[in-house]
Amino acid sequence: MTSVLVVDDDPDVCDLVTYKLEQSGFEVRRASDGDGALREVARRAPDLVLLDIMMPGISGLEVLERWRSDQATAGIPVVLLTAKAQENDVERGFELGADDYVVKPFSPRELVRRVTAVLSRRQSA
Amino acid sequence: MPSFITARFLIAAIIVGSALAYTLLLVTVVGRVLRGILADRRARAERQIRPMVLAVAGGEPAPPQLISLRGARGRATERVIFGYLAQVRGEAADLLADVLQRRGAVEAILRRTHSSWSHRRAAAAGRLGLIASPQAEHRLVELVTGDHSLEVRIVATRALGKTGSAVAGVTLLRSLSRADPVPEGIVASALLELGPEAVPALREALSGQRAGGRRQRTMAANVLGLLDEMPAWQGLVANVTSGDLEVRASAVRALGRLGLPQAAAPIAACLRSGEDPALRAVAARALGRIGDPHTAPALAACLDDPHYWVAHNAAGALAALGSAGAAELAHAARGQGRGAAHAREALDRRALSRGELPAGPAAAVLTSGPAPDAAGLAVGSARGGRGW
Repeated sequence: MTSVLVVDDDPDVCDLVTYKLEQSGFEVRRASDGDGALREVARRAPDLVLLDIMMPGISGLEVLERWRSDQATAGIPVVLLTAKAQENDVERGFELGADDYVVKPFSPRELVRRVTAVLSRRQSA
Repeated sequence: MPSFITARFLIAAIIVGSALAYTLLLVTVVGRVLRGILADRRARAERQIRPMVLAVAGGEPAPPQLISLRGARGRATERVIFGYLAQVRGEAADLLADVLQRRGAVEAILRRTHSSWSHRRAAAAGRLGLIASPQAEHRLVELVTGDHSLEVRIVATRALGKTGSAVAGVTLLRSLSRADPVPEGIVASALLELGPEAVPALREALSGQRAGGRRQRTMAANVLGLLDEMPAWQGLVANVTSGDLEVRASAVRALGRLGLPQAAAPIAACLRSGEDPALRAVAARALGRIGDPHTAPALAACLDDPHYWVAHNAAGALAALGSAGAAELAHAARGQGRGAAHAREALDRRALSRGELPAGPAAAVLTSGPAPDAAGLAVGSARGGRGW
């Protein structure tokens, strides 16, 4: 089963994304901050990470930078979750190697489509 | 006064004071305990409701229980739904809003918009925006145009932007005519959110047929440009020659965004030396976006302009015009003075953006210096980066 790590400090967002991804057949793990995300990935690398940019402590972009600078985690596909007001951060996210981004408020159906698209792009590459 | 009366009075005062202090303590403790119990109940009720709401947001049909719950559990249902409604859009938002409509929540919230407390009216307006119900539009229009509290009008403006009707566009533009209007950035965001629904009102405002036109026309020009509304180009061109500098600059900026060559000549006319330098700088930048090579001579004539941004933007625009612009820049770069410096900088930036080695001062830094970003290149990017 394809595993997705959802990283967001808002439990409502985590619940919703988890529900929709599980409904679509993904195995979902969760983290509520940057440290938790780093620990989860170190424990077992997921097939894809949905990463919120703005979080307490280490920001999503910093987490992404650390993963990309480590050979073991550099290849994990990452989709950024961002609020509308932080869309400028997305450019920086792409520079750091993000694969796609989803703006909050988001359509759960579109989010699943994007996750699937990124995974199939990675598989065909 | 006998001393035993004073002593009695003191004892009575101590007893009454102590009783009051204990009562206060008791009320505080009981209040806290009650608040804790209520918070636990609310959390428990929300935990029970959450899976049903999640299922609806995930595309499942709403169970009848979710529609019929009343009392504390009914309130919990609405809290949970609004929590998720703020996070989603599309089908999920429509399904959640539908549950609220069927529960009769819109009518209850509409009643709350008449509260004498401004924070309650603002909260109610925010919820109406989340539901985006056409039923709420009339009341939101009233709040945007008539509420005495700026906080309420700001929230109602944002909410009206989510209703998606043409009436909302007219109201949002009219609200700019107030003596204490909602900040323009918030009105612009709401108009952008309305998107195509706002276009008829924006184009009408641009024609200036309504009273109170200056702010409205400036806003209309800016938003039409951001919406890439090509059919509005003639209305925008008509405003390039209007009597108001801000309206003209907004129209020129919008035409630059649209990038239509038909607008190049009227914009180039704004480069004349008698025009305001701010307008000329905006016009130069817009011509760069349009990229019509026929405007190269007019832009080249601005390279020696004493106003930094006019000359800088003209050089940047020439660099975007292809071979005609590059020829003008190369000619100017061979000269002396400010114009030559702007031309050389634009040529260097053009070369770098094409992945080539620049021929100007930047080349010397690139080929000889160990840290180009710390020296010569920083001059170009620091001075030019903000304006272009």
